[in-house]
Amino acid sequence: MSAQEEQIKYLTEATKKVKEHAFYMKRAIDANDLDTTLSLAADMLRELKTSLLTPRNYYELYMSVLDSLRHVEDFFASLNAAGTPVVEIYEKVQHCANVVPRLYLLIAVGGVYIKSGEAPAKDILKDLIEMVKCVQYPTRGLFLRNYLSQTSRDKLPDTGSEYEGVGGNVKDAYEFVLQNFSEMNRLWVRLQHMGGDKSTRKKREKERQDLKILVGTNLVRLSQLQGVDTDCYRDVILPEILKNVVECKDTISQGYLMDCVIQVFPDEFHLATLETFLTTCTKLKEKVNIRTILQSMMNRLSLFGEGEGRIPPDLDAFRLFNDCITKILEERSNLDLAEILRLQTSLMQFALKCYPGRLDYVNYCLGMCASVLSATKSESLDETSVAEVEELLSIPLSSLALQVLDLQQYSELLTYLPYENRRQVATILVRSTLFSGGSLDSVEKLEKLFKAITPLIKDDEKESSGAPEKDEADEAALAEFKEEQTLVARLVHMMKSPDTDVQFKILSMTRKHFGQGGVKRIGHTLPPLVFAGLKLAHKVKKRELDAVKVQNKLKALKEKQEKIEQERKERQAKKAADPEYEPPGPLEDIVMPDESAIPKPPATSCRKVFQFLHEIVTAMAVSYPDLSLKLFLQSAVAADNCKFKAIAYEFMSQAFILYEDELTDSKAQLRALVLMVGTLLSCSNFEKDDYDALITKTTQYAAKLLKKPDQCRMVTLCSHLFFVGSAEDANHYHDPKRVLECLQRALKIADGCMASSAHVHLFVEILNHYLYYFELHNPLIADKYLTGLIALINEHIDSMDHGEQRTEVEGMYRNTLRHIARKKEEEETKEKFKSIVV
Amino acid sequence: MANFGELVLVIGDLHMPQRAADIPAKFKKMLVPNKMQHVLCTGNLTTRESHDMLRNLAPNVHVVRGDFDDQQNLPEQKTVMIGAFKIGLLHGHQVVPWGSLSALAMKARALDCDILISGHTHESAVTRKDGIWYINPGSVTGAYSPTGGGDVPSFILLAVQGEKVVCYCYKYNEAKDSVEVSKTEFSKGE
Repeated sequence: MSAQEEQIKYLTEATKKVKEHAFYMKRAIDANDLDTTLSLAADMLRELKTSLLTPRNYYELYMSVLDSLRHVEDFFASLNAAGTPVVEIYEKVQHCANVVPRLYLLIAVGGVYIKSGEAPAKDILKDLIEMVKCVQYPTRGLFLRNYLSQTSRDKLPDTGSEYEGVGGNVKDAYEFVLQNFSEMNRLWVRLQHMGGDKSTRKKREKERQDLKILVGTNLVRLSQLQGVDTDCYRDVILPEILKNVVECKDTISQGYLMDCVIQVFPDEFHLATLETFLTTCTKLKEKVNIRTILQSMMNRLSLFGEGEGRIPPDLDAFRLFNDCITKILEERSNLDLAEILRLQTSLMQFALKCYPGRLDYVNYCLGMCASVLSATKSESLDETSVAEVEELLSIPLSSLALQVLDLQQYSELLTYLPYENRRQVATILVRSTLFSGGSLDSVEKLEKLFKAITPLIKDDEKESSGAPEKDEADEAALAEFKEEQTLVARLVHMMKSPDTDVQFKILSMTRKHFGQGGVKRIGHTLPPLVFAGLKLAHKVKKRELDAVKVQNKLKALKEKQEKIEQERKERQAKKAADPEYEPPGPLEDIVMPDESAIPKPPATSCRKVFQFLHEIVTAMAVSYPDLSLKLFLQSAVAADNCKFKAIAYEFMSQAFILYEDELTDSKAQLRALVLMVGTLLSCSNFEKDDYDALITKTTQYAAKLLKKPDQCRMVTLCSHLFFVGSAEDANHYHDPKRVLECLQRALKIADGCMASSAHVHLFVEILNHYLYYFELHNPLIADKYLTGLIALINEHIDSMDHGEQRTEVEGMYRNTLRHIARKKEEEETKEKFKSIVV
Repeated sequence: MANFGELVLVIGDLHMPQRAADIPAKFKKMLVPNKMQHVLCTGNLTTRESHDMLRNLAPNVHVVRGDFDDQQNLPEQKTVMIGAFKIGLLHGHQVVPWGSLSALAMKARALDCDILISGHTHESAVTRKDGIWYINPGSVTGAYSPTGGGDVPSFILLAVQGEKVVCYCYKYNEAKDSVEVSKTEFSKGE
């Protein structure tokens, strides 16, 4: 029979006997026969004498005995209610021959005794606690005392309880519980040493873990006493508990009870006794996991700090914890590196939560870790320690974000991490920086940031990791890389200095860092920098214009001042020559504005900003021609907006060069051309010759497109380049003849598209353009062209195959004719449109 | 709850992360799933994340290709029927001169639509010309535009009920950190 089967057998047998005895006992109770009841109850309780059962199984048995014992308790109470004095029963029970049954019965009667009020509660409790001492077998003793604890829990002479007064006071109550606690802990510890060799040690430990709750219940009892206040806890309760903890010299007991103390007593008590508690921590056995104890105390207090309460200012909790940790580190040699890091991490977490303003605390914890790490001789850290350092560095980010860079020790610690882990921390740093929403407004701040996030900005110098290779099939890595670069790109929009000169320095410095990122990174990181630069250019331009305005005003003021000075001198001369001379009126006093109040022109000129932009986009051009072309076009519009004709021309020509040299895909060409036309139309300050050169080139590109319909549409679109602005605009550009030429050329190309039957569609599109210029009063676009084109479309549209294409064309054509009809009716346009024949 | 008919979000030119870090928080709170039936986007989402965000907002999402969108599979233009309205949608950089209503009118005739939605200028507007309504939602991130538009984040919400449309134009005022709304109502064939 295996040990387990044996256990089941023993338990079944014992339970069976208990039930039997209980059955007859209940009959005796029904017969109101006290003596028989007691004798049968004793028989039943005798089963608890066994030492064959494991604690777990003993518990099962104990529970079934207790079930029936309740009937006995009730019986005692009913006897008492019927007039039997409890003391009589109490005396009678004493005659029970066996110790264990006698004590259980005594406790049962004791409970009724206290309730009856026949004797003071404290005396009965004292009596009971003295008597139970004679059971020293651990398991039996623990359960017996548990029964005592349970029976007495609502009968303690606690403050406010009905037993207070004659029955005693809270002191009697807690002394009773403390004594029970102390004895139970002793029994519990003794269980560990109940014979057996090393092989049974583990088994014993397991059994003890099963029983710990019995010991802990006493602490819960203590925490429930109303009469125990902070002073009492500090002066009596806690010292007594801790004395037991330290003196028992037992690892399991110490670990469990310290944790119990933290969990069961209120925050206020802990705050009042933190120092005592922590001092005890340093006295615990080496194998006790002090870190988890400290951590749960710190968690408890920080939850309190975060909630309604506050840690009192006169309590230097951080120092206390730190002293404790320092002492532990000094005295304990069995702590490995990861464990030390964990300790510091939890202390730092505590500081972050309870002392949000105290960055020095955070820095201190980081510093402690740095010095521990620097003391380790090994070249590289083990995996667990790396994970701990990564954790340590990630935790402060959520609350401090960029502020971590002000912590001297932070960057120092980063260097201990392998590149890959630094990259992880860097990602969190960037995320929390973005989330915090603060602005990156100084070069120094950014230098620090870039240093910390180097793994995101460039590849490791030692290895070529970082940006994944193109042929690498690892899509997840590529997606992660993209995500990281997007985060870095977003950072650019947080670079916001109100001073344009500082902003320029920031952007220049950023470019230097981004520039080292390699081809894959710059595609993500440089475009936002270009747009930030363009934004800056507009701001600098405004500052320059404002400065000029101010200078002009100053100049006028100075001239006026000089004139008045002249007049003054003349008047003085006149007065000297003729004492009778009366000046015509007082002279105005010109007050020149204070030198420091005059806004200074920017140190970095707008021109310089554009030069900077030119350099960035040029650097990207080879790797990203398509994108760079668009960025050149954007820059051209901005430069034109700032009235830099030559610079705008330069940007345009760079775009054109890219178009010619790099864009080979016909779809890409078409898209680029559309943008080039739009851009040219958005610029209004080109020199005429420059503009002519640009639009001629553009039209040539249009005519050279591969597909005929594309050619046709682009040539049509190019017609706009020759008709810019209305006649009233100062810089309008009207070349009616070239417009007509474009449209006629487009018609010709469209005519050649008959094979693909795209021609009718193109005709209608061109008709719309004729109409457009007709409405804009292009003198060469005459009604006859419109009439002719309409006739042409009418001729071709019927021969179109029925289908989607035809429906589409018909819709567009119908709308166009409807538009003409509308114009024929409207008062203003009636005259002009009447000659068009539909 | 009042019946708004079908709610259509008109949004575009996000340009994240190239020109803006994010959509204003005040807007984000308004742009939540299960409120709108349609999203019409004028393009320049530029990233997958932005696409996913829109897809989360409504069951019907229509996106056209902006000048800075790399996704080749996005259409240049499309039409969508909502209520009694045929709505044309395109980014707008293809129509020159940019933002010109006369030029857009040609597009509206080509797409045979009652409402033409376009972006690109980063300036929101609701305009009527020759019986067609032109709607530009602006840039929801207030993305930079070299022509001087931008700066003011905006989007438009259409409540379409049969032949009627109520057009709510939302603008974000950064200085006040507040959202301003203006309203335009019109009916088909008006």
